[in-house]
Amino acid sequence: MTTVLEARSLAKTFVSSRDLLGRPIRKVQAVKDVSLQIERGEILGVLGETGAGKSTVGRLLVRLEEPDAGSVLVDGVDVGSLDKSARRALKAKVRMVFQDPFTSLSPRMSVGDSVAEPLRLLAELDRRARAVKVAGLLESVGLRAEDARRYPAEFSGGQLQRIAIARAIATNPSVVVCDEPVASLDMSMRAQVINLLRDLQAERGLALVFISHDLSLVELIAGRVLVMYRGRVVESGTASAILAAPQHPYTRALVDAVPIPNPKRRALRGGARLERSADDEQHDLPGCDFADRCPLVMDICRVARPDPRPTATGDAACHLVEGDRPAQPVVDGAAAQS
Amino acid sequence: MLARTAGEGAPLLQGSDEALLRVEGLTVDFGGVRVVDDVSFELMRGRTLGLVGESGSGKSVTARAILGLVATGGRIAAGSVHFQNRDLVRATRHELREIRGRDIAMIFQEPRRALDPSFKIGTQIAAVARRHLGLGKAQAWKHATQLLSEMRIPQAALRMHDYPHQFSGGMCQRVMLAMALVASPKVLIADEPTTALDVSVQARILELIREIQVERDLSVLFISHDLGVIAEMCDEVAVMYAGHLVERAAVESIFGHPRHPYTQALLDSLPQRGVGRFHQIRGTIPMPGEWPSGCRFAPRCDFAEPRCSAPERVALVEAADRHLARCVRTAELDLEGVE
Amino acid sequence: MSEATVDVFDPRRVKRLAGRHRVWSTFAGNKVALVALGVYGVFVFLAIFAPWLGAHPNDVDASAFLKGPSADHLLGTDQLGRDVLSRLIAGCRVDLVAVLEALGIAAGIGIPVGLFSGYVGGWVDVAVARVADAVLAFPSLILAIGIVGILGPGLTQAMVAVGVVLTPRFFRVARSCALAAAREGFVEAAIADGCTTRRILFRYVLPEASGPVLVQTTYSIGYVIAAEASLGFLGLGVRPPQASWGSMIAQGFAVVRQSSYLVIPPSLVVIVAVSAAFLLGDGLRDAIHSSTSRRQ
Repeated sequence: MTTVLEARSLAKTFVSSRDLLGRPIRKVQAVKDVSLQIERGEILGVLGETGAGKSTVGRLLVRLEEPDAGSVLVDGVDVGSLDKSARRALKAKVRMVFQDPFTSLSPRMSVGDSVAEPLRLLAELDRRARAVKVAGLLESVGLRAEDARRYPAEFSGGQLQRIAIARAIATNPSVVVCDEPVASLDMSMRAQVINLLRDLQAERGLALVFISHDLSLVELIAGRVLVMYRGRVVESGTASAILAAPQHPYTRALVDAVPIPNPKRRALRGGARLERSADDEQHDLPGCDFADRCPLVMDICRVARPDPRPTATGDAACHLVEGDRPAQPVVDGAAAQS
Repeated sequence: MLARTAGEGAPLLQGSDEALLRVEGLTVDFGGVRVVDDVSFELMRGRTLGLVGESGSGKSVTARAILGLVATGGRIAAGSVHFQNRDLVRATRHELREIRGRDIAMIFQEPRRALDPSFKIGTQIAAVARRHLGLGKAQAWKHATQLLSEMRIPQAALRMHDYPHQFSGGMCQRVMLAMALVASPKVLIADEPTTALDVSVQARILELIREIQVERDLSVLFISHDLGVIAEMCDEVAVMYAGHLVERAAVESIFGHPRHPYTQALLDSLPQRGVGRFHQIRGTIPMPGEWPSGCRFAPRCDFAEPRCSAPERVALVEAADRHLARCVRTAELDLEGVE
Repeated sequence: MSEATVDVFDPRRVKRLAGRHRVWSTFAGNKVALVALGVYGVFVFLAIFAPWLGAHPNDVDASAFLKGPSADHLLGTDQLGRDVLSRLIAGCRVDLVAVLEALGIAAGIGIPVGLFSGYVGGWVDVAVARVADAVLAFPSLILAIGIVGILGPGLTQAMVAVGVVLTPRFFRVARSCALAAAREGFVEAAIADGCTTRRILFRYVLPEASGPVLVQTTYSIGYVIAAEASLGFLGLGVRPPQASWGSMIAQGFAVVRQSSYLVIPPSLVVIVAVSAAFLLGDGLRDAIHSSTSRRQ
């Protein structure tokens, strides 16, 4: 098993407002400490709600954002250590499909030109060769070669997203990061895009990072999943196992909140409802990020942040999960005597 | 007059339940193109009716047409909407304005868009109270505060002074609900109220709607494309496809034993039912103006036969006890639903 | 997160044609703009074909000084016996060349700098924008006179001055388009595709600016012609005996006591030219705005 993409302790903070002199006033810690590994050909789901930081993680992986801390390794090479042209070359290996196909394709360029754009990274192809490749790519996503001449306005959302996928795989990448690829699409178009991703992944041995807020989608498509909350990974492991038997209270609340399309099951479900919502004002408190909303919170949760510890299905960062390491209270970054 | 078979529009639930809202043969055109075609249903008191369909099915236009909120270029071509011994289709603009927000209220998909960012939350809710209930400033503010706390917003009195940008999406939706409930309406039309919200927020809003419904004896028309939400919230479900109502039944029947292939196809294409792949309905939904004659779903239907496209229009028939379906073959088919 | 699905169907939302067709069809519906375009068509024609049209701007007809319109001289003669109509036609070429010179500088500097500055942002943008603001804040006529003072008199020098005055305007338009474009999803996608900054500016940002820049250019044509008139009036433009509309107004003004007629033809021409330029710009702006609505 080869690791095609790895992230180590990524962190990213955004400045939401500045004063007159340009100094930051309010900052948002979108990603606090995220590590992950993607093996060749696997589908990793990244699940979270608004404010979890999952989109930012995706952008850090594709280097649309520079991490404030931590590193991203592609095929074992730290991207941060490379020079500009080497980094650009790496963009061929880690590609992205964006959420909104209507805005990720330039309305003034033909679809063929958009798909051909990343091919410029691979200098060996001349114009004719590029056109041939574009035709092939369009066909592999279920469109026709002639469509290359047409413009985005002539296509439906589902078709546009498939074009975006064609653009993403144009450089034969090892990883494609999909940021909510079907969230902007009608229900009827989701199937075509999801199935296409699955098929391409199987045919080409692509690894996919599937970022989504939709549990049932992630369960359907992903092998492993990371559940994110407020910039950290709270639970990880096999998708079907975790979502069937969540170990972390947040994952459990998330699973309980998903409506089941079966009226008979309605009465059977209870589950605690989370108080307040994640995007309420929150201060950076010590301890677990979920402590202020967790139905099972204990005293230690407010004081010491739990490290991920192994569970039957993967890892969970929760004091309730018995691990083999006692939690270290966090006191200004220095480890304290227990 | 459009021909109707027996059973269409008749109450599905017997007894002393009264039908608060009765829609009969509602037909809406946009610039000469039919968008909603002969839709009939009833909303019983204290119950929730779900209107399900994809984009292009006409469900949102139907909901808005009930309140006379047809976009420019559109008109109600036929049908009636009976509410409190009045036909809203034939009501004057003045009468409709009285009813909107007071007797029948509506909440929409993007709660933030319904709020004016320059005014305090409290001011906006109070403004509705003053208009519909004729309350004075102080009284309206008090009423608004009460509503806000009824919507389970903590420290309501303080939050009344906040501006919309200080509220999260879920809280904005609660504000919308509060504004809708100001005049204690009897009917609430909810058009995809939770589609734009996180799933945990959605769960609480849905719970809130259920609780309010019981507390206020409210009848809800719930429009959604999400079958999970429909299963959670609704007592009765109407499925729309290409402007038509294609199936209507109690929620357990719709999910347990559907009588129309489209409903079955919708259930099959849920992610929960897929194994690695999504089940896809082949083809695409026909847009208004491109509806085929005969059964509009036939080109995509796994059970279609030539006779499905034969009649000019397929009639809505009573496929089972209090279960209507617009399908030529409904009596022969045995669809499995969800287990 | 927003998952707004478009559910309310509106059949009027038919497929949109590719941008260019729509711009032209909207523009063509605007009668006034078409007339303005026609006016400039005439000007360009005259400018190109002036020598073959029998214009004799420098011939002196000793028998007719400061005469009004007659069979020989359709628009009369000036104080040196030269045919006014011929001089107007010759002036056409002079003025249009002047426009090209001034706009060449203004657009040639303003657009690339503006696009770059708006796209990269940061302190570069802050610094350059402040410089542009400073130039913009300076009273334009005085600035132009000052530059001519440094460079010496002459039409080209005057047009360089006008070009410098106009540069900040093009800079601003280009910059604001670039600021907006930099946030577009497809620009982000291009970055993720590994495009260099230069390619992004050329291929993705510049097209977004083309509409507003075109509008700014047409408005500027009017501005340059008026500026040339002002500078020519002050004797800071063309050298005699070359005819430009502005210098013709000056000459007409010099003899206004004897003949109030002479100022009129060149003034009217300048009014028409400037108005047509602005109306053309308005028409283009409206046509471009109507085509920038994107399909949802």
